[in-house]
Amino acid sequence: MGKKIIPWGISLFLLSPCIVLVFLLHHWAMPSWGELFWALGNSILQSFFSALFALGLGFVVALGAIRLSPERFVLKSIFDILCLVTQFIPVVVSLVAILNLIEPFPNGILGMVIVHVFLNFGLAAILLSQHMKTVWGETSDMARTLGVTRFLYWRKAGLPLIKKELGLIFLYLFSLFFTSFSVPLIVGGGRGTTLEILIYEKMRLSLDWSAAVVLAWVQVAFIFILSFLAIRNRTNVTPRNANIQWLGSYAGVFVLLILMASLFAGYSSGLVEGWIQRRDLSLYMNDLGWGFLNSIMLGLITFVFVMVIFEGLSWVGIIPEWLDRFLNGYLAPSTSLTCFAFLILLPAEPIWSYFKIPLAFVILSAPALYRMGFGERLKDLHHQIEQAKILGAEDGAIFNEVTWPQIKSHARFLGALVATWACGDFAVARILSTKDFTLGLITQTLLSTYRSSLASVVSVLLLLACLSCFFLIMGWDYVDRRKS
Amino acid sequence: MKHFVLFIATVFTILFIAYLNKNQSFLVHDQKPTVKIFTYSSFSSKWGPGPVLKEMFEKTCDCHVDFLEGADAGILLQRLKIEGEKLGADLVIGLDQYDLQKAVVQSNWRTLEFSNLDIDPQIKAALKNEFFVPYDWGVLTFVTRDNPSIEIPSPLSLDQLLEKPFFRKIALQDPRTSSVGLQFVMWVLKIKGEEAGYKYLSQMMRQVQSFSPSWSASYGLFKSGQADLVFSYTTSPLYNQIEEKNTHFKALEMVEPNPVQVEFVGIPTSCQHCDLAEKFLNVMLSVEGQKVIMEKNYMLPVFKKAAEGTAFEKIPIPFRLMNVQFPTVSDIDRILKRWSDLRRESNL
Repeated sequence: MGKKIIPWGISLFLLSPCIVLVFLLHHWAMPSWGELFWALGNSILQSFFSALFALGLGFVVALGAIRLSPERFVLKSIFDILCLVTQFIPVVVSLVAILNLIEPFPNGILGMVIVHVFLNFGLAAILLSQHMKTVWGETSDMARTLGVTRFLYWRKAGLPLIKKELGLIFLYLFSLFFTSFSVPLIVGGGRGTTLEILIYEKMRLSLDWSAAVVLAWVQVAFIFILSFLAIRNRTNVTPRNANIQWLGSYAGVFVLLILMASLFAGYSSGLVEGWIQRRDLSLYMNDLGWGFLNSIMLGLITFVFVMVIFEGLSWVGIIPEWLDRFLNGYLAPSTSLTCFAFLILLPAEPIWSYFKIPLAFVILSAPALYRMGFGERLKDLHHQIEQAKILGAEDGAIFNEVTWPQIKSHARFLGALVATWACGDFAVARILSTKDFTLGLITQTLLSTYRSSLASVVSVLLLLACLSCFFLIMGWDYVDRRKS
Repeated sequence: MKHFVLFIATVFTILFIAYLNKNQSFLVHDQKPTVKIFTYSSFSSKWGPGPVLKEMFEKTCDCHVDFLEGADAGILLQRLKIEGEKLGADLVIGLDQYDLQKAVVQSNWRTLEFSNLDIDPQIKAALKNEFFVPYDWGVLTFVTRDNPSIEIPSPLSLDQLLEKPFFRKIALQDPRTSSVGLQFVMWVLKIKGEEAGYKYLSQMMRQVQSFSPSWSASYGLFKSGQADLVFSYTTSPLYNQIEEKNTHFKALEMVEPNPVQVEFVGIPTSCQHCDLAEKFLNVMLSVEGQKVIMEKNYMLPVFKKAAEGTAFEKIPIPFRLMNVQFPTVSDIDRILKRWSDLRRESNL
C-alpha cells in the first residue's frame, strides 16, 4: 500500500506550487513571443556555456581532490571547504571580488559565464570527485597493474566511464544557471534578460501573475524536455571503492588555490574595512548568536525533509518508470513563484518560517538531487531488491538490510549540500520569513543599509554556520558508517 | 527507519515547544494588544528607526509593537495581496510614490486625514492622495568620490553623462527590481520627454558599468571602485561621513531638477488595532519621531524643523527639485516594458 502512496505523495508534494499557481490564474496572459524567445535564447546560451566551463574547470579541480590522500582528513576538509566556499558567501560580496579581478569586466554572456563558472566550479569538482571515486575504482587497479599512464587512462577509460555522470552534473549546473537571478541582472548587460528575470519582472509588475506563471511553465517544460533527451541511452556501472589517488593530479589543487586566493584578495578588502567597524556589530551580538543557531537549525530541518524524500524513495525501492521520468525532468517553477505559493499555502506566523523555508528548499532541490546520482544508485540496487523479494524478504527488511545501508551515505551527502544551501540562503528566506532570524537575512539587511563591509564580516560567521551544518551531517554520517 | 522517525519526532517536538513557548511569552506579555507593522527589513533592523520608534511608542500606548519584515516595497505589496488579513498587518511602512497606485488597486486602505500637515513645501504634492502619508523623503542625484578616474564637471548635466569619458563608469539600478532605478528612468523621461527620453536611455545603456538589482548592490560596486558615479541619495555621503568617518564621497549638483523619492505609510482596512496604528503613525510624524527616522534612515524629514541643528540641515540642497509624480500602474508597466526592450536592443 505504502509503496503506491509514496510515489504519488512525493509527486504531489513537488507539484504543489504548480497546483497553487494554477488557481492563481484568472486568465491566460501570454507574454509577447519576441520577448519570450529573446529571454529563452539568453537563458540557454548563458546556461550552456556556464555549465560547460564550470564542468571543465570542475574536472581539473576534481583531479586535485582525488589526488589528496583520504587519510589526510584535515587537508581534504580544507580542500572541500575551498571548493564550496563560494556557495556560502553572499553573491554581491563574491561579485565585487570577481569584478576587482577582471578590469574592464565584460558584461553580457561572457560576463555571466565568468561569474557563474567562478562561483560553481568548486561544487562541480566536489560532485565529480564523488563519482570518480566510485566509478573509476573498478578499473583503476587493473589499469595500474598493466602500467597504463594517467593521461591514457583519462582518455581511454576515465572520461568514457563517467560520461553519464558528466551529463548529469552538466544538466544540474545547466538548471542551476538557467534559474540564476542576481548574476544575469548585474553582469548580463543587454543579454541579462533571462527567463527567470522575465518571470520576476512580470510577477513584480503585473497584478495577476498570469504571464509570470506561463513563463514559469515554459521554463519547467524546457528543462523537462532537455532532461528527457539527456538521460536517454545511459549505461550502468557497478560502483566500487578503491584507491584512485594515482589518477589525480596536483594541478587541480594549484588551480583551486590560485582561483580562491584571487577571490579572497578581493573579499579581504571588504573584511578589513568591516573589521575596523566591528564595534558597530555590538548592536547585533545577540541576534548574531541566535542567527547562527537558527541558520544551522534551518539547514538541519531541510536535511530532515530531504531525507524523508530519500527514505521514501528507498522504501519504494524499484521506482515506477513514470516517477523516474518525472524526477529526472521536473524543475520547480522559479524560486520566487515557489516561495509565493508557500505564502498562500501556510500561515504567516513567524514559527512557520521553520517549515516554509525548508519545504521550499526541498521542492526546489529534490528533483535535482535525484538527477545528481541518487536515482542512478537506487537503480543499481534493483537486482538486489528483486533477489531479496524472491527469497521472501519483507519490505522493511529489504529497506533496512539492502537498500538504505548502501545508499544512505550518498543520500546524506546530497542532503548536506541542500542543508548548507538553506543555512546560508537569504533569497528564499527573505520572501518567506517575517523577521531577520538567520545570518543570511542579517547579512542582506546590512548590505541594504550601506554596511557592505560589516556584511563581509557577518558573512564569515555565515560561512562558519554553513560549514558547521555540512560537517555536522557528514560527521554524523562518518560515525554512523563506522558503527555499522 | 526507526532512528529517522525519532529524529523527525525530536525536531517537531522542539518546534512545538518553541511554539508553546511563543504563546507562553505572549501570555506573560500580559493582555496588551500587539500592533503589527509591516515594513522593509532595513527600517526594522537594529540600525533602522524601527526599534527606537517602537520603544518611544510602547512607553505610552500600553501595547506591544511587532515588526513583520519584507524585502522591499514590491514584496511588501505582493505579500499584502496574497496573505491579506492572514498577515494581520495594522500598518504598512515603506511604499514610495510609484507603489501607491498599485497599492490602491491591490488592497483596501483606510482614509487618512493629514492634509493640514505643515509639511516641507518641496514635497507638498505628496499629500495629494487620501490613503497614505509621507514620513520621509530623499533627493536623488549622482554620487562620486574624491579623485575619480575621470574629470566630472559641476554642475553635471544628463547629456554630459553620455560623453566618452563616462563610458562604463556609471553604476545604475535595474528599474524592474529597484525603486531607485525606476526613479532614474522616470526622471529622464520627465526631463527629456518620452521619445527623446527613450533615445537617451538607449544611449545610456552603453555608458553603464552595471544595472544592479538593488540600490545597495550598486552602491557596493561604486564603493569598491568599480564605477566612478552611482545614482543615489544626496544623503549618502553624509552616511559615509558620520558612520564611516569617510569624507571622500560627494553628491553632485545637476543641471536638471533632481528627482525626489517620498516614502509613505498607510493603514490597511484589514487592521486589527487601527487606532493604535494611527497613534504609531502620529509618533512617526512627531518632531522626535522624524529626527529618529532621519538619523537612522539617512533620509530627509517631512518637517524641516526636525533637521534643525543637525548635520542634515547642512546638506546642500541647491538642487531644483522635480514635483512628486504619481504615475498609474499601466504607465509604469508601459515604461518598464519599453526600457526592457531598449535593454534587449542594446545587446551589450
